[in-house]
Amino acid sequence: MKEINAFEKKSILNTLRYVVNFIWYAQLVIVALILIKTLIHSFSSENSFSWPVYFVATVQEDIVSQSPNVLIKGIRVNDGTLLFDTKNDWQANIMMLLGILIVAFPFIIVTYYIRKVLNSFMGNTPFLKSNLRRIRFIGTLLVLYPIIVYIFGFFYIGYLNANFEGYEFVNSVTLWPLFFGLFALVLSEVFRLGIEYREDHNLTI
Amino acid sequence: MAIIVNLDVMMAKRKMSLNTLSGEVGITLSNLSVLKQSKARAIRFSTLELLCEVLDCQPGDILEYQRDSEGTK
Repeated sequence: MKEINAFEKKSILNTLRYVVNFIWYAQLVIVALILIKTLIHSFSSENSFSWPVYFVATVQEDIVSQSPNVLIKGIRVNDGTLLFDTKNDWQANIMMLLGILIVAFPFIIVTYYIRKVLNSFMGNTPFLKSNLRRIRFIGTLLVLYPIIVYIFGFFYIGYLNANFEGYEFVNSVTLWPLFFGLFALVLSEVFRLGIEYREDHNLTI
Repeated sequence: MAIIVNLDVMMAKRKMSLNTLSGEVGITLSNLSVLKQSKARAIRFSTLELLCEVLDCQPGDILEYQRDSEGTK
């Protein structure tokens, strides 16, 4: 069997740890800033936010609701951002905060678990049952994410179509988390085999 | 498991304690305990050779095959 060469022997663990730590702290700061901005704006004027729903509108110009009873006041078509009139409207504020949590939560969880896995690499072996559980969780979450967003979008687009007459919105879905999720699930199988090999090794007298 | 480890039987026959055997064979007490309780997944020929040498027996005296249907461990 061919031995691994110098390039393959070089560990990128430290670089990875720096990158993941940077993403982790940047993510927390960004989410905190968005929440603060939302809370400040909720007492003042119009606020805008993009839900994790992807849709295709058949018009080019921004859409503004004519009805005073509609929660969403308008849609910026170029980036799919929704306009909420958040001033003294608790429903609109809850919608916005919920949207932020839905967008941010999976990515915070995934980064948190990747950090945990990388930190465990500093010990004797990465082939731990806890790492297997973490990677499986990341994979399952990322595979389910587009499916949940699509189902959520189904009802959401229904709401938009019902309240914005004359326009048509079509549900769309982004698939990249699905591929990352599948990769994580493949990686979890590698970890499962690694754990089995380690147990075999430990139980060989 | 179909393979039964009769290490405790051989140790009793030779009137040897686990500590003594561990010292003479050069295996840690915990590894020897794993072997004695039939929890080991594999045994090296070198380990088996040492055990046979110290206990003055054959591999067949330490290891025994039993069919699963005969109510094994």
